[in-house]
Amino acid sequence: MTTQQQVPIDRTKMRAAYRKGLWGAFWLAVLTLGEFLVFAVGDGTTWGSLALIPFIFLKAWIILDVFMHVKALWSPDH
Amino acid sequence: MTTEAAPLDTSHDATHEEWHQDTSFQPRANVLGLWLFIISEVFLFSAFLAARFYTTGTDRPDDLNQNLALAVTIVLLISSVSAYLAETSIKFNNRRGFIISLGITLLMGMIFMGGVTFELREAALHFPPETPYGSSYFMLIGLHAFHVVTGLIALLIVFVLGVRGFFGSTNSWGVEGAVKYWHFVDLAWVFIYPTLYLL
Amino acid sequence: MTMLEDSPAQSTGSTAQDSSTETKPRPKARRPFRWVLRGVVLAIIGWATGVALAIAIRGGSPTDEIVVIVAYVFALIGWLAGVGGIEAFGRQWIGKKPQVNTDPSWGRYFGFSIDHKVIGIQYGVTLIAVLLIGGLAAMIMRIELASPGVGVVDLDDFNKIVSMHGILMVAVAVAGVLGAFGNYVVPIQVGAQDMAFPRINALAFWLLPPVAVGLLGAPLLGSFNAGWTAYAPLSVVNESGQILFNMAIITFGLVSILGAINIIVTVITMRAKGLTWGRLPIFTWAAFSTSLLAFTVTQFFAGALVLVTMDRVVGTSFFAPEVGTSLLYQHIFWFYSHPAVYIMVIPGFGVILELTTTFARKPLFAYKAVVAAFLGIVGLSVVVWAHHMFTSGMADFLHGPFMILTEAISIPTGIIFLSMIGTLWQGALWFRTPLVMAFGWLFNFLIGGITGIFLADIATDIHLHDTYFVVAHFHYTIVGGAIFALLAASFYWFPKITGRMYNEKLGTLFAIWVTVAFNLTFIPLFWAGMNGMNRRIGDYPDAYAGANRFASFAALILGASFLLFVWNMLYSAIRGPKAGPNPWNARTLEWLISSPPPTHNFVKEPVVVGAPYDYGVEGSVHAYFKDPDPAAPPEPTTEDVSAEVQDEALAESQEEVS
Repeated sequence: MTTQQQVPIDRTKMRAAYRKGLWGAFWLAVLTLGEFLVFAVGDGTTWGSLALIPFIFLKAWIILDVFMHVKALWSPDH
Repeated sequence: MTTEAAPLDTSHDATHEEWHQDTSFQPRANVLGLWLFIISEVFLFSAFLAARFYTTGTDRPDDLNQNLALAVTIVLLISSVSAYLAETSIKFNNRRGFIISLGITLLMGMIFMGGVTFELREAALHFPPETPYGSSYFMLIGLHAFHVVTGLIALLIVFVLGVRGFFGSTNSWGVEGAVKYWHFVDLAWVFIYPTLYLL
Repeated sequence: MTMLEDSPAQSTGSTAQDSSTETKPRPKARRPFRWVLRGVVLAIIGWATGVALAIAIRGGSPTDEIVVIVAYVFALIGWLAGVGGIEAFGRQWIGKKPQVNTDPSWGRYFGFSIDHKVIGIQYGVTLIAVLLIGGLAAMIMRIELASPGVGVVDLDDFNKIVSMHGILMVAVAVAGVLGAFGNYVVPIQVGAQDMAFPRINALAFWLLPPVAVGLLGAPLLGSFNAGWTAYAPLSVVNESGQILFNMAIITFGLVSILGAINIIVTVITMRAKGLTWGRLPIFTWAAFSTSLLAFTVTQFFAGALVLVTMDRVVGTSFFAPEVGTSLLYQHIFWFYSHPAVYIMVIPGFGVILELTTTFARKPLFAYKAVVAAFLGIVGLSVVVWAHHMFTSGMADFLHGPFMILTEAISIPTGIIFLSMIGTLWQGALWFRTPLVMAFGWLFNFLIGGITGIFLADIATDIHLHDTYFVVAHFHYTIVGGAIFALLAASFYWFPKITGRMYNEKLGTLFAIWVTVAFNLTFIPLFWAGMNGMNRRIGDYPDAYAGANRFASFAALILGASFLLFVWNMLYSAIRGPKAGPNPWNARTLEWLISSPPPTHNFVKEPVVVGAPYDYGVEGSVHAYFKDPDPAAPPEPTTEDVSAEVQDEALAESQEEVS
């Protein structure tokens, strides 16, 4: 959306975009494993359930922001 | 049958002085429309999630296959990342990267579907749909699987078109739309997975 | 592009003439039904394929519910592919340019046309037909109820007819104003040449015939008797017609969602230059607010019906009395269906305010407050659903908050009332059929609103729940609020859509007739309900005989009035006098172009420079048309245009209307 650009291709921008996605993936993986760890330790307890909630919303936000470019909806450039 | 059908684009001969609305709104409209559709879908998923909590609270049977669930979660995550890479590649005209990444996404999506199918077969033995938890489990997994399948079909169309060289940095809306939908499928799983397995 | 032949020459709004259509021969329709026929053939093939496939995999007979579901889905896909989906969407999936039907003759109404005006008319005609069928069901009900005891239909058939009447009328009320006039008027009012997604708009319309066929075909599978609400657990155990009901309504939800998304995106992204949010015509605001509701909550009805379907065919147990709970159904269902009431009436509010300000020749009173009220209703309406469930046995602590929130929603509704009355106040009222209908609307919705307070209040609701008081109340709000607005809108935009004028005398006669007959029908039902007569039952104690006989008699008179409406519409569309571009001397954009509008609405670019409803304000102008030629003399100032536009429009309207 924000990057509907013409040739020539900006290599640095491209690499930055790739890196952004990979970092997003890294944090998603960390949070997924963290989530599983919290489950493994606190299964069946109330705090275990509550502790999962921040993990869920952080993951959701990473997908929305990094992968789905939700902020582009508010950006003025299109 | 289609002899009278004309191309969709409504450009007329240049001599005609009729006003034509600027089409610069279209990319923005496409993105907005897709987001609205996704928000609409969020409501459908939330209805089913609400049904799960309403009928069974956070109860959960002991014989869930936790390892398999974690594995398919990771698989879906990988597919989402490669979908992102595919979208980024086509925006920067990197067609090779685009095809490879999209191929990985498709493969991972299919593995995910395979895992879910296996899981459902197993689940039907331990907690069939007739039980309260089974009802929610089969509904949520089924609804999500339905979206995975539609997402895979969309990605497959994009993949075939991409192999034939249809997309480029200035013509990437098809990729973008399908990939955004695929991310939404992943987003839904982010909520469904803990709801069914972890809470 | 042969389509252009159909459109009259047009320059600025003030000089638009549609006499040119007279000179050109009408284009002849060549095989106009071929698209629909292809759709039907592919639908039948799809149905057969689905049946064969499902039986091959699972076995069973063609009337098994799982088989019906698979067959319905295949038939739906076949139908969509047949009526034009292959050309409009399928071609794109294999990398070719999509095509659409651009038939210039009347045959375009039977094809996959992407012109929003064609689609609006398609919606309008389809839904009026559904309205009449639903009305026939109502006539049968009233004949049965004319006297106590079992008469023309037995009690189970009565339930099925009630359900059929309910769901058909709900569909008309939900999609009527928004589908027909939202599609036709909104893009023109925002100065756009079409919707943002013309093909999806067409797709949404072509999903509608399967809904009607699915509902009306349900009697083949034993029909459905669970009411339009399809309450579980009855809807889980009744006859298989319920499956067709579920599938049809899920499809209808898709119609609603796709249409709503289209309207939202159109209003956000395609407004003309200078058309700020504060200058948006009030009907467009209403359609926009409604769409905000429709595209989200509709999923809950679909979701509830999916759960019912799964309980029926897969064997899940959401609503099974032993392990599940039918309260879940009611929560999910009413989370959609209470906002649905506002999906029905907010477009009605928009229509009524739009024509009130036009016929009172005054600026719309409290425009900003009305917009705030629309958005307030949208927000509040999703947190009031459980007032339908005060007697259902839900948790006690929910009762109080839902009562207060429900009563709070009368504040924004009251603002809309005040706006209408403030606009009428000391206005130079021009009594034409739309305004007469608007007065009928005002009276009906007032009664509907006031009786609603008794149903929102827990103490009175426990007595009145499930009685004819509720029936009378929601007919006053839905018929009074949505259907009356649909009728008023039909008269108001009739000259714009057809280019011809309806018969004013017959129109006024109809407006008075329908208002009086409607009130005579439903006022007695309040009395019957307060005295405890149960709804949805084909028999009743002798004590209610008088009121029911009276209501039945009045209902037949009410039903007969629609013959007058249909005759007026049909005859005037073909034989009515030419209406001219602006018979009402109105100011919004649709009245500044010729009647009927040219194919792409605007031949010159519209530029909005002022508020839409400044009737009687010296020198004000809403919009003018920009000259496309840069070498031409500079654009006229707003004052010049306003004088010109208003003088000529006035002259024309006087010539051709009075």
